[in-house]
Amino acid sequence: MIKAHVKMATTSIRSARMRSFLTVIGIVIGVASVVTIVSLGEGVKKDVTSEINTLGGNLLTIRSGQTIERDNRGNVTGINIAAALGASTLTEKDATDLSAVDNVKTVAPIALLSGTPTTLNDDSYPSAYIVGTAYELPEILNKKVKYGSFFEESEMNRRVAVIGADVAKNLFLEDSPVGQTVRFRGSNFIIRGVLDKFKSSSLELTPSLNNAVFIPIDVAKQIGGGVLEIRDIQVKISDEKLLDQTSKNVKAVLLKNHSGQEDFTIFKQEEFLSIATQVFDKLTTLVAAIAGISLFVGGIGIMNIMLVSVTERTREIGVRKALGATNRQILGQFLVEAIMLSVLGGVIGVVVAIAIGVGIAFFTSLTPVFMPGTILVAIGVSTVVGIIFGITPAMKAASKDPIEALRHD
Amino acid sequence: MSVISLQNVSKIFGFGDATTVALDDINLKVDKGEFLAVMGPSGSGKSTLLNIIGMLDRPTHGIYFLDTRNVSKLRSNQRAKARRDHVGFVFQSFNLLPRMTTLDNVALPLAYRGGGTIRNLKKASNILEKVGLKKREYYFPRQLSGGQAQRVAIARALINKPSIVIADEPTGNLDSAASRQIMELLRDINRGGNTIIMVTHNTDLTEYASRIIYLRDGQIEHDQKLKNGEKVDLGKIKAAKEYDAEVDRDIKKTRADEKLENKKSRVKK
Repeated sequence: MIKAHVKMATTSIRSARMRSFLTVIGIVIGVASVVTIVSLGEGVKKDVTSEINTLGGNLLTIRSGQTIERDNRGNVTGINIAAALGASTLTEKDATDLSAVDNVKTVAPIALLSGTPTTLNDDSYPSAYIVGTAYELPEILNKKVKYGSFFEESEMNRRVAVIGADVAKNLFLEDSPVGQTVRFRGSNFIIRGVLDKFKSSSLELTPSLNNAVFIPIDVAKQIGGGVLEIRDIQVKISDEKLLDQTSKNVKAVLLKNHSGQEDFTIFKQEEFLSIATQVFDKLTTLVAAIAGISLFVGGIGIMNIMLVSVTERTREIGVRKALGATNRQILGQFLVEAIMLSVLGGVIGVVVAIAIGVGIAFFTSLTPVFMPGTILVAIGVSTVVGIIFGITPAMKAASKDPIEALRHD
Repeated sequence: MSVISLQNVSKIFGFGDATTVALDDINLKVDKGEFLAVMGPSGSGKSTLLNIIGMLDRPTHGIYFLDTRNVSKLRSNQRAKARRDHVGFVFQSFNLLPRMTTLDNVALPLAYRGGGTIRNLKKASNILEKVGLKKREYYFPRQLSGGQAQRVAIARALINKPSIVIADEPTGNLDSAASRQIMELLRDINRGGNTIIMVTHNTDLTEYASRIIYLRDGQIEHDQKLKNGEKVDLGKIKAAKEYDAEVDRDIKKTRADEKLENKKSRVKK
C-alpha cells in the first residue's frame, strides 16, 4: 500500500509543480541554512585537526591576553576574543627564559613588524605581513620548506627572507621566487625559500602564516628600533607525556616575568580544536533556532496546502472510500503526500547547501565538509515536520463521510 | 437464494422537529442474477436505499443481510472492506480519478485490497479487454469519451468480482447511442451472473431490467417482475399516477398563483 501511496503522492505533487515548490521553500531555507553551517563547522574542525596533526601534540603556543576561560580541570569553557586585541604583553625575555624550562626543546617567538612588502617593481600584496622569528621555526611547526631553504643559525643577522606560499603566488606571481628580492621599510631582502602551504585553520584568531614574510628575529629587532611586538611564542617540548607538567612550569616562569599577572594564554594544540568547535557550536545553535522558525513556517505552509488539497479532492476521497478505501488508507495517502512534500524540501535544501558549500569553497579558504550524518538528520527532521503538519489534513481527509464527499463538486 | 435481504429497514435523518424519514420500514429481497431497476420521484428515498445497499450508510432500524452476513451494524472501516470485496459502484458522472491512467483507475479497488501490483494491473488489463478498451489502458480519463469513461468505470466496478453492482443513473450523462452501449454492456454483465441494481428516471431503460421497484415517500409502492425486453408502464402504477397528478396540480396551482399575481400588479398600476 505504501508503494501505491508514494506513487499517488508523486503524481499529485508533480501535477502541481509550482504550488509544491512554493510550499516547500520554507523547509528548503531551514534545511539549507543548518546543513551549510554545520558543514562549515565540520570543515573547520577537519582543517584544525589536520593542522594539529601536522604540528604534533608536543607543541605549546603562548599568546598575549587571557583569551580563554577554563574550568578547574583545565577544560576550555569560554572564549574572549577581545582579550587578544591590543599591544602584546609577551616579551623577548619570555622567549629566552622559556628555553631554560625543563623538557623544553626549542622556542620560537613570532614577532610582528609593520610594513608592506613590495617587489623591486613596486608590486605589492596588501595581505602580506612581516614576521620576525627564529631559525628553528620549520622544525617547531613541522613544516617543510618547499622551495629553497629556511635561514640558518649563522644567518640571523643577514637580510634574508622566507615567504609563505600565498605571498609567492600573489606578490611574485610564481611558485618559487627564490633568489629574488622583497623590499620593505627601506631594506631589500633576498628570498631564501618558500614554505609549504599551511592548512589555513579558518578560525585562528590571527592572520594566516601563508601570507607571512619571515625574516630573522634579530634583523626584525634592528629594523623595529630595538622593540619587538611578539604575537606568540611557539614552544616545542621533548617528551609529550610531560606536556601538562611542562605547561605548568611554563606558566610559572611567565607569571614571574609578568609580575604575577596572567595576561597570556597557553594553548595546547587540541584546544584550538575545542575553540573552533565552541565557536561553531554557538553559531550552529543560533542558525538552528532561526532555521527552526523557518521549518515551523514551512510546516504550516505544508499544512495549509494539504488542507486546500483535501478540500479540492473531496470527491476523489468519496470515490476512493466507495471503492473500499479504509479511513486508515486515506489517512496514509495524505500523510505520505505531506511527508513527501516535506522531504522533497529537505532534499532540495541539502542540494542547495551543497551548492552553497561549493561556492564557499571556491571563493574563500573555508572548505565545508558534508557528513552523511548531517544529511540524514536533515532528511529525518523534514520527515518529522511532514508528519507533524501533515497529520491534521490527513485526519480531515480520512474522516470525510463518503456520501457527502461523493456529492461534492 | 437472496443476495440482498432488507428486513424492516428504516433510515431517519435529523432530530426532533427536523426529522426526515428517508426510508420507511422497507422489506426487499433481491435474488442473485436479478437486474433491478429502482424508480421514483426525487426525494422518494432511492439514493438512501442505494447508499444502504452499497454499505455507504447504515440503516437506522432493521436488518440488512448481504449474502448471508448481517452488515447492518458494521463500523465504517468494516463497511469499507465489505464495499471493496462485495460491491461495485457505477456513478452517473463516472468518477474516474483524473490523474490516474485508465489501467490504474480500474486496478484501484485491488490496490486497496493489497497484493502484487503487477498481478493487479494484469487483472485490470483483462477486465478492460472485456469492456473493449484494452487499447485505452494508458489514456487518462480526460482523453476518453463519456461512453468510454463509463465503460472504464464499469470495469472498475467489476474487478473485485462483486456480489452486487450498483449503478446510479449510469447513462444520465450520456447521449442515446452511448447509453444503449452501456446498457447492453450492463445486460451482458447481468447475463454473466452479476446482480445489478440500477437507479433510473428513464422508463426506456427498464427494458434491460428483470424487475422494477417504484419508491415513494420512503416506501416501495410497486414491485414488478419484467419479461425479457418489457418496459415498465408508469401509467399503470398507482403511486406514479398519483405523483403525476400531484405534480400537475402543483403546476396548475403555481400558474394560477402567477396569474393572480399578475392581475394584482396590473391593478396596482
